[in-house]
Amino acid sequence: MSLTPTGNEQVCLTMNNVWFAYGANTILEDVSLSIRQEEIVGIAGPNGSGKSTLMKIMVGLLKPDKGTVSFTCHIGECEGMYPCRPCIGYVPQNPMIRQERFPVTTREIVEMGTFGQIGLFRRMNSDTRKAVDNAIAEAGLGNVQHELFSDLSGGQQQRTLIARALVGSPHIIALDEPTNGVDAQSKQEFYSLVSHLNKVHRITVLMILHDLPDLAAHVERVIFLQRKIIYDGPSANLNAEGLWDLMVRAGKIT
Amino acid sequence: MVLEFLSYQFGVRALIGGLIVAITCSSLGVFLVLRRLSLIADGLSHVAFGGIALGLFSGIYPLYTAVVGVVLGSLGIHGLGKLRVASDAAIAIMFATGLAIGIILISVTQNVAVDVLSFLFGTILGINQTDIYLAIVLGVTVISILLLFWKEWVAITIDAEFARVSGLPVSALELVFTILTGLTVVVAMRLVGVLLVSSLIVIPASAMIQLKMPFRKTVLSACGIAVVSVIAGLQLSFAYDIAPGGSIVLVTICCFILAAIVARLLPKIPKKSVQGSWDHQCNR
Repeated sequence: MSLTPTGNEQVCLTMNNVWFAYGANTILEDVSLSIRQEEIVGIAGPNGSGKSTLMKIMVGLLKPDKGTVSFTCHIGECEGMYPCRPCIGYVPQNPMIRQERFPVTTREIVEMGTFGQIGLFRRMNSDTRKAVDNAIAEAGLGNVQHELFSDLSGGQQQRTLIARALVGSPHIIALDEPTNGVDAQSKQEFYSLVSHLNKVHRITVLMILHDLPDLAAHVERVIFLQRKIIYDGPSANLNAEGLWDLMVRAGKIT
Repeated sequence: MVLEFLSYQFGVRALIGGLIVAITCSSLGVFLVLRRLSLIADGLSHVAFGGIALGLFSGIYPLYTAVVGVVLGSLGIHGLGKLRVASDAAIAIMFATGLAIGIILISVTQNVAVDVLSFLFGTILGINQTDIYLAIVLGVTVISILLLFWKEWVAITIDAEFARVSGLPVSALELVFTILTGLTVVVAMRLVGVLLVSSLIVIPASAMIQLKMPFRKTVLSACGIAVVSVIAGLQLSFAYDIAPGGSIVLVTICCFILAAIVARLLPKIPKKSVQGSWDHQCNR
């Protein structure tokens, strides 16, 4: 059931025969996949199926025990490099800054997205400040940029984390369970944002999702994991029952 | 005169040492408290105690051996973390190791009871010129490195996972930060003693975090609180002939209570709505 890219679709991320284990506990088993440019890909599966591990390997937080990961970023110097830092922006699931009274403003968090590219010993210059200004303005966070992150609503916090991931202009964004703890309206805004980033800015979107209707409605392609890939195909071919069957085959999903 | 202790040479030395300690402890403290690593200062102070005992045992100046001890202790905590030992357990293991070594070395060293007590409870009014030079060197080193890697420390404190994905050398920076904490502990030990050293790191930071200010202002105000506490504590100690370490720490506790009251009185900030959305405003 694996989707293989056709000739004219450019692949931007490839994983070949990736294995990963925590001690004796195998999490990922011989995972191979290709992500094409400008796709919206949903990663689903039951708890403990390896979704977050797969994403952490993609962004370079974990190294595979076996197998290879490579990027084709089309900006020259990081061709084939892994992890390709400028290529991929990451939105983690539950950063510590969400705790109440964490003394950091929205702007300070978005600024952090530039630090990797600035490098050690260097400070932000006018270009990086401008990039931060743009990201804040684009995210519609201008009026709360000096507010504490912990004082923002769930939707605003999500926008802030996405702005931080995008401030370095990556062409792939990876989101780990982005709709957790977000109300219905903010969730709708989030999916509009994802669509906008994908259609207008041509950003490839990878996200871990749990909700069946969301997978069916907002994702072009679903990769369903239970240690290994048990489905990789277009979401349009699957109605809610079909996805449910997959979940039942894989075990209980939350 | 308001600050009577400044009429004496030992009082001036105490103030210089105290200010260095106040600034280094409180600025590092904000990072440690936010990363829930407050106990690391306690752990390293007991490792430093082992180093001091080694100095008393061997005849080497105890603060020098304490520096060696905390560097080794920092490497130990970091190494245990690499072995997937939980950070609180790693700190507890090094804490116990330092204390055990200290107790054994003191038990086999003659006539050191007074020296040991001075390190346990602090003797800021009795610090000598060597202590001041060491405090200046270590204090300037710690603050310089803190400022040099400021944005990296902030990034790791805000979100270490994202910092790692961004390509920052998080593991190496964490080790450097642990060593800086250890060096700060050595300097502060002379002031308030092994038993109270972590209070100067934790309390000013915890007090100011309650006030919900941006990061830089939180660090600066924590420094301010610590400086005021050291000056007020020294004056109280001199005026009422009480232990300076204890009086300094009690002043920081008063500041913490005051900050807690102010934080409760601050008006609740209503959630602001986002004006516009990516769909409307994005023009990249």
